[in-house]
Amino acid sequence: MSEPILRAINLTKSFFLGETIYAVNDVSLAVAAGEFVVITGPSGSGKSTLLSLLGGLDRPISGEVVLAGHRYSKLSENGLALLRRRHIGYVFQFFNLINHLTAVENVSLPMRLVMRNRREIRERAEYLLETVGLAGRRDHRPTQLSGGEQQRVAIARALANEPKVVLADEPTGNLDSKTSAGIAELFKRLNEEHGQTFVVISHDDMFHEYADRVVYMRDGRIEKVV
Amino acid sequence: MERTRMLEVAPLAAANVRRHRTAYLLLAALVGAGVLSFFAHASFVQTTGEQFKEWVRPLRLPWPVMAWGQRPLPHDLAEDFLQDRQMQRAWLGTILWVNTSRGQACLWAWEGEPWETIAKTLVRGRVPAPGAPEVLVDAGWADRMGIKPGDEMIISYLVPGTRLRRFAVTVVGAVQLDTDFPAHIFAISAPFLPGRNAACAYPREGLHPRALAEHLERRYGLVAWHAETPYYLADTLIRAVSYPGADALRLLYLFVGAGAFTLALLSFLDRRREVAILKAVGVDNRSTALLFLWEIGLAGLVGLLAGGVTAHGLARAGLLWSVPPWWEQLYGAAVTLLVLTLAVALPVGFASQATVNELLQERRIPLFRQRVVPHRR
Repeated sequence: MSEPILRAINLTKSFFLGETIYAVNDVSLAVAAGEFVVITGPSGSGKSTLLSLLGGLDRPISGEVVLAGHRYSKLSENGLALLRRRHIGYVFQFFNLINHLTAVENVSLPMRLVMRNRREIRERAEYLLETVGLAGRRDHRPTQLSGGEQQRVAIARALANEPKVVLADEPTGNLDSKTSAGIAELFKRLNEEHGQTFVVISHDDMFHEYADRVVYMRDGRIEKVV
Repeated sequence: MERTRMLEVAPLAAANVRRHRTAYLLLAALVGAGVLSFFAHASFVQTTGEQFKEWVRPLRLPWPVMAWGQRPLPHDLAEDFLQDRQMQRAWLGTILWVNTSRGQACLWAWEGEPWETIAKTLVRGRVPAPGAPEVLVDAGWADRMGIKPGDEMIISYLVPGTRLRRFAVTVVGAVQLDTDFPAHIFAISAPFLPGRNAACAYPREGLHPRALAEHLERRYGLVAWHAETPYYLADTLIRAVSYPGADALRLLYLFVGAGAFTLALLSFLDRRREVAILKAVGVDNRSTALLFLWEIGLAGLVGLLAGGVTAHGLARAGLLWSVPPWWEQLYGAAVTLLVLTLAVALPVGFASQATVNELLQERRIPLFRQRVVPHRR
């Protein structure tokens, strides 16, 4: 395995709900560049919390996350935002596209934060939409797209700034099985052809077939890695 | 190269303003109304500006600062001006504005004359018996200056924001300000600085302003710019009502603030998910705040511009008595922007400090937040 690009070191995150609940409890994980890692486990096992911590959307109460040499604990909120901008792509279960923007505008959004040339942004957004099989739907708004198509747009958006790692939280959780298969294949193709690193949370066995490693979680801890 | 924070969210803000243009236009209209109220207030209390200039006069500020009618006219400049205008004399003076039952009146108080005395005379004085509407001047001043009946005087006046107007009048007599009230035009303005003089006509008792305007136009070819002033109440009532009324107009700013607060809060609540997405793709807290500030600021600037243009238009049409000087206008704009900023501080604070998970899961956003410092267990 090559050098890890993303490392979680003894991560712990707890919530107080009458009593202290450890959503993530002393979890360590290393993800190599170009690796396809799937995290799975029952509801409440801490998968999504772990992904939030890996993506810098939340802070652990102890432990450390290191992405491409950047220690999250050393970064301010704005520093984390800049890290997300440059190095992390997100794919959410409910797509989370901005409804009043077209597909190409949604994909352009992260690029507008780092690039100045509008034509370059537009061309790259169109290329990404073509990559995910939506070349003909670029001027459609999310409400005019099916669930699978919306998720493809979200994937294209996640890839916009060529992130070091794409984190996906139940990307097929809201899709039918046929569409889910298409999305899983798209992830694998992007992983194989572009060397994109993926960390995907999924209950879906389809992802297990494509994954380099499957991490099983239970009660906030890593149960096993296959 | 990373784009600057100011610019990165500006297109999104513009798009949102376009989408919710009705709400933002409403806010702009409120701001515009606030600005109009400011102009109206300033129009009522013009004397405040005069007082200010009295205060700054001893400072002997440089030319551009003091240019607004207060800079003592150098002798050579006065000569040039006289030559240019083919006039015989020029006097330096101060314009005094007062509110009366027949509208706002102004009086040229010559150098050295305590204007408070004239103001008291003016509002206490009685209107003389009906007579020919001619120019009367103060007897003592006329003696000192060698002005006699039949002399021609140039009255030049300017409603700030409009072009300079000048006209010739004939002095038909002199009155004692202490005993008799000037008849019809008691504001006589000697030309001191080009474009900065002011004078106004004042109808005698029982004469409708429109009738005076017609007379002035017929007799002297004048344009009586405020003869249409609709106020025709008792002096006391006007004085009692106008100033507090003008102050009450400023309450509009409360509505401006409330409107901006509501709009920013609703905008934030309506776009929790959008803000979460922006944060997830890397928009930082300050840019998130800027997003909302851009939107409110855009509406505020449109309102400021619209209110200012309308106020100047109203002044040009004679419906506002005067336009405050530029520094008061700047002050008004600054106050408006301050009101807007304070009003949106809370919603903008929520938007910028909320985390992605709080926004997506619609969790409560804490007003104060403790920084979580990771530690070794």
